[in-house]
Amino acid sequence: MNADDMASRAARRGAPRFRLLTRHFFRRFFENDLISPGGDAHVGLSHVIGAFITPGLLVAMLVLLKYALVHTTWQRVVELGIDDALLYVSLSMIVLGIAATITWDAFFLDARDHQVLGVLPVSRRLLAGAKLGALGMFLAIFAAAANALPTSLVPILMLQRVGDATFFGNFVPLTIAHGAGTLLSGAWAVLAVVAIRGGLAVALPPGKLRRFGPVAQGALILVLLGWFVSLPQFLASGKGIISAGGWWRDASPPMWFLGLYETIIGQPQPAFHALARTALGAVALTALAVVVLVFALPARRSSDLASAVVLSGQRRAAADWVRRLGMLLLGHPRSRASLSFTVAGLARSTSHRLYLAAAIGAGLAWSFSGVFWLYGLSGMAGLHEPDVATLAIQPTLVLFLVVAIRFAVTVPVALPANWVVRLTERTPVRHDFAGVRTTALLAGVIVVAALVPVHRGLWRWDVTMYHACIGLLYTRFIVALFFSAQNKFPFTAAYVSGSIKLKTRWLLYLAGLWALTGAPALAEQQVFRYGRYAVALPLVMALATSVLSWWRIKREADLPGLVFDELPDDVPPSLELFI
Amino acid sequence: MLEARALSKFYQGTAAVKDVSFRIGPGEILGYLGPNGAGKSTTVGILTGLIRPSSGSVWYRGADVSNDMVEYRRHVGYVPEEPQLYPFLSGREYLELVGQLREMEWRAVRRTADGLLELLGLGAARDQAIGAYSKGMRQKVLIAAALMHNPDVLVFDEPLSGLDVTAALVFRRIVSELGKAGKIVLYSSHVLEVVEKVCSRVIVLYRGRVVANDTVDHLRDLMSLDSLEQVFTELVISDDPDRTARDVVSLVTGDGHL
Repeated sequence: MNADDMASRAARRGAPRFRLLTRHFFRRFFENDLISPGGDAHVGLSHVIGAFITPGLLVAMLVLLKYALVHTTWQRVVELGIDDALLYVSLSMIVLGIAATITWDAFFLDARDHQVLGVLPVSRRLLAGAKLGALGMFLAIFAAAANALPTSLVPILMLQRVGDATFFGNFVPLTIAHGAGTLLSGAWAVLAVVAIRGGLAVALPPGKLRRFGPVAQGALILVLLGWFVSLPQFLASGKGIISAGGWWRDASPPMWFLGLYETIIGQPQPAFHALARTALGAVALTALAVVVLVFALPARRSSDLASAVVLSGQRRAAADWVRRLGMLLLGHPRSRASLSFTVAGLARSTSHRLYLAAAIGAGLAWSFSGVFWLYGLSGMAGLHEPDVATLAIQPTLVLFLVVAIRFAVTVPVALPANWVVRLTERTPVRHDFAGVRTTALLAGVIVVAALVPVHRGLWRWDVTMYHACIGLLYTRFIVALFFSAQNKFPFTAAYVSGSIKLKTRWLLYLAGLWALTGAPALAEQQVFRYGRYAVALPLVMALATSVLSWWRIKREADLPGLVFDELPDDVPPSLELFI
Repeated sequence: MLEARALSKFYQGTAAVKDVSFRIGPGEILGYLGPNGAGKSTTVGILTGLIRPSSGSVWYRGADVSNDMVEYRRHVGYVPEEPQLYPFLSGREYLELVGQLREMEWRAVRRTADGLLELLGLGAARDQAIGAYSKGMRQKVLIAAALMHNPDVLVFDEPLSGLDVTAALVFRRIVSELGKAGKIVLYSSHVLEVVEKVCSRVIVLYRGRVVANDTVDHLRDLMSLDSLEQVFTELVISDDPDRTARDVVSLVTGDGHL
């Protein structure tokens, strides 16, 4: 066989190998504990796409109702539509940005790729190209899932009562504007997240990347969730930002894509045209940066990763502190072991750290939405009074964190390694659970302690200290509530998603969230405003905690032992949260 | 005395082990041999309580262990075939976890864990995450974890996997010392040479059934063969290894024909 034959055979082989690798890398986006551990990728994909389609459709139906109510004109639709366009552009960026953040490690070649594919006769260029192909698939599928249906529905809904609308003059430009604006804004969000991840990999050595990566992921999720919760305020101020101009408008990515949207539907303002140019330039530049990063970044060698997981001196010191705390708080060696194991798992397992970061992010976002509302209503003076919005921050953060820990400990970190826990199983099981509960309790105490200086900056000492004491009692109550029937050892039990359906019971969850955060804050407000229930409130909380603890002890006595299992074959892969 | 009584285990109707019975006394080191898929790991799983038998039972000190598995497990140390460990813990933390789960005194946990890690050559790496360990280092952690609570029953499933020559020699002597200390040792392995030197008695398993249960010397004498390897070959290998090897090389090099 001569060289030409070999080259042509290689070229023929190249395309199927590229497709094969692209599909393989695309599947790796779903090998993620946050999506469906152990689940079938195809079923997982359908659930994920379903989850992407839902918000767009819901918003389309809710927001666009106003266009069905009265006969109107094209000019009026254009004026009304600015807020809706900004909403759609923002929503696309938030949804796709979060999806990309959750899976950001999968956008680059990692140690596993190096180990598995490095021994095969596959060039680095082909691998990097396939990674980009997988990124392209990710963009095409999810950007389309989030935006395709609204793009086809929104123009119809917006123009249904417009007397002067024409097909080519209005309907087609509106459809193109919606499609281009939302698809490109979502694509830019994904590319920006990938570029940030690549930039971190270039800037940081492997050890630091491993430690700092999840923090950056959590911070990004926090920013995106904060933006999502603050969308009403953001949309309300959208027109003001556009007319005011300046840095706020020109450096704001959603405004770039709003400019693109408005330019395509024919708005003549030069500001929109400039923003549209910025949007297109940003997409092109970010895409270029991603291509360069994917091709330029060497696959992380396994030796690099090995050196990355050597425990630092600070970590050893922290582990020693946890151990000493366990000695102080817990009498039984199994409880201490359980505490150390749970804390180590939560602190060191990347996916579990991400759960906690996301939970804190969601809690902060929820809390800040109330604070923003209060600030908008009465300025700084409002924050200096203990109001429901500010008093609810502490219980909200404690609740989100404890729920996240409750959820995280049921997700296995290294399921095949659970044999050692099975071999050392003891009855009664209360000693094992005591360590897990103490972890959640300590996490809540840390939140309460961290908020004391913030509250002191806003309120008097007596108010701050009373609120902190209520926070400690609340933490005990929440831990007693959520850890009353724990019967699986942390990180070793199979996670079965979908036990409680957030999709269908969201109203119930919303009511529960209010009852567990708003109601105590309201009761505390009564104490500070009217001097009522100052003694009764802590007494009621202590009593409720005692009842729950009594019930837990009774339940634990009835439990036959810990439940250990391998991942069952019939795990329903789902995005539904298990709380 | 540890006793397996008529153990059988079926997976979807297929027998992994069938009617396996044997006894191991204190101070005895029993070699457990068999080709791949013979049922060795299944038996080991049943003996450690990780797998429930379809029928039969395991008896320890005259009692059926299924009546009080928790109590039985206090006396068992186990080195599994696959070095499955929690990658985010350091070697020392893992041993501390195991020691505490076994309800050992904290000082004893610390002393034993540090001592074993030092003796097994992991002193410098004891604070590194297990995720960074080589296979041999993980194996040493498993060996330390199996020994640290001074168990009466030790079950080793391919314990030399990944160990270097020195570590393997040390481990062989550890097993011999454990036998002398009166421990009950089950040693499942493919390395016939080590089994021949270390074990006082061997069981050969083939297709889930016991085909030999005797001392190495007696088996050799009985079958008029020179080594345990020859005995093993005679008992369980139906194909001619030389011919299979030649066929494999012929197939991949394209020479000759099958």
